[in-house]
Amino acid sequence: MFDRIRQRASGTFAKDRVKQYAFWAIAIDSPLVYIGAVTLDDPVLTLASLAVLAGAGAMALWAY
Amino acid sequence: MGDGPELNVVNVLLAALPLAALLTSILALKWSAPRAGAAAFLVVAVIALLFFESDPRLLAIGSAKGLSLSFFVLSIIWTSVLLYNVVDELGGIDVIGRTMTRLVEDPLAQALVVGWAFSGFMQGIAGFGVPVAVVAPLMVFMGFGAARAAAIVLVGHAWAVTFGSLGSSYFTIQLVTDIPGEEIGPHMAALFALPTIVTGFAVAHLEGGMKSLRRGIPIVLIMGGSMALCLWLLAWAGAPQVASLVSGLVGCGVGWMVAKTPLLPSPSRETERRVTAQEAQGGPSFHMAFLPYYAVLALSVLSQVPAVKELGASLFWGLDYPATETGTGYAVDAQDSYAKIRLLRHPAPLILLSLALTYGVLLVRRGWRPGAGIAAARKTYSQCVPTSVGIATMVMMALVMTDTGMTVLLGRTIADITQTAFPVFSPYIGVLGTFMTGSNTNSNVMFGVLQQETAGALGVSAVTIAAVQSIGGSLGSAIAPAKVLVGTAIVGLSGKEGEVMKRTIPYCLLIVLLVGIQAWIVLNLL
Repeated sequence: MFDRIRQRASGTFAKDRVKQYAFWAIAIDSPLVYIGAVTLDDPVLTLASLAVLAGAGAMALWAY
Repeated sequence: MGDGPELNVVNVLLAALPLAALLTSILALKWSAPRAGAAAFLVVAVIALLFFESDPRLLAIGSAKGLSLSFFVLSIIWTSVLLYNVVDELGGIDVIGRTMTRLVEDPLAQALVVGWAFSGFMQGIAGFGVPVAVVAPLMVFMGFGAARAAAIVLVGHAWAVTFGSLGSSYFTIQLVTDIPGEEIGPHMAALFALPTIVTGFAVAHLEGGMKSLRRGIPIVLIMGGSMALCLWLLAWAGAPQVASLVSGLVGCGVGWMVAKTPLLPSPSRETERRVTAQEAQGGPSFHMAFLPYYAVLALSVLSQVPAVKELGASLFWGLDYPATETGTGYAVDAQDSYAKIRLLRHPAPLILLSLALTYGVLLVRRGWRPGAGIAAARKTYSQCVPTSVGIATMVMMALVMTDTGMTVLLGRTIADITQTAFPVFSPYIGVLGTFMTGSNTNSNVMFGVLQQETAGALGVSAVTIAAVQSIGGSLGSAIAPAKVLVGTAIVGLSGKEGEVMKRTIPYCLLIVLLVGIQAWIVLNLL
């Protein structure tokens, strides 16, 4: 518990969580990128999935 | 393919920017791979949209291809790290390390036999990063530092990549250039003699600096000579698919024998201490500890049997991608079953099957410790998350570069600038392809025809240039981020990829330069 408090104080706890979010965002978004651009060829889904990828990139840039 | 982006200074600088961002952030700023990969991916996305007339759909298709390729690579990393952690949880890694240390006691001989010849043998069977994933941790438990172990295996296995994975890269260069096997095979194998021997010297230098390099001259020449001769004989005899496999095995045997003769002078007092430091007790027997790796070896060989190949021909998974074209006219053909995962040949299912077999055997023999699987899975998750983000972002960057014509532009620039000195720089194009995609095969697909066409335009032998392309691609495996990440993830160095790359890059660039000079001599003086 003290470790967690110390981590929160130093910001590493938040970074650790964001590292996981970046990973899961890429993992979950992967099929959507394909479906949006190839299967459905839907511009809205394509843009949305690219935005999620860019967001995951930004999270990785901050957290790692 | 269409005309693509215009070849001018601005376009070339823009095309080089994502690569420059990646290398600078890893090597100079010491960023971790996920952070550097994310930065490079964001840079390439902006450049592709603003300057290479790409649209969001094309960008998404390039990224999706990158994710498909990442899935191919990451499935190997996750399963091999899980395998390693399971064996470790059961106390097996300690036993393997101790036994192999006793088998070949001299650390220099260990580095050469295990990190150079055995990793080449593993490349001959499985490839796709398996040698790095299997051999690097073994070396750590033999007493090598983690970064040194990863660097030794990355450089050490690079001689075996083209003829490795049962010849997949070799057959690819043959296929894309349409040069008959009997012509390119022996020629390429002969040109491989120099880099094969020099990688041995590089491994010796990585192990213990100039002292080991000098001490290792006889053993490296004997092992390297045997491996190079074996490689050429098999390519000449029409068996290139087993050339790396057999040569690696021959190298192991020759190295083991030479290590027991005065041809390898005694190790220093310091190394003797390192050997005795390994002598702890307890754990399962060596063969039980090595059981999952025996199973991987056996299943890898079994997967290459023609009947099994035929059986598994229709058992695969891969996504189809449509043809694309940028506003600059750079066209990419449609691709079916991209980054195909063959269920009976891909290392991930084979590793999982090996794990299942090991679990069954250990359960029957009461050697399985309850909770070992869960503990190993937890460790694997925490080790592989950063690696996965790093690989996904870097491979997406590479594929967006490829699909928007940036990579070909860089290749053409090297060819245009170098002109008559092209043979010297030709293998660097192969390195670039492997660096970008993590695969010698993909490098050959990407640049094989470009190299052949350039050779034709310059009036030099296309056979030599095509061979040199593949050799460069093979040696590029030592620095490809996708492979470096496999090594760092498995030896517990996630986030310190720059440390390993800093060690491997000088050796890779130097060996490739020697390959280029050799090609220039062959083309101009012989």
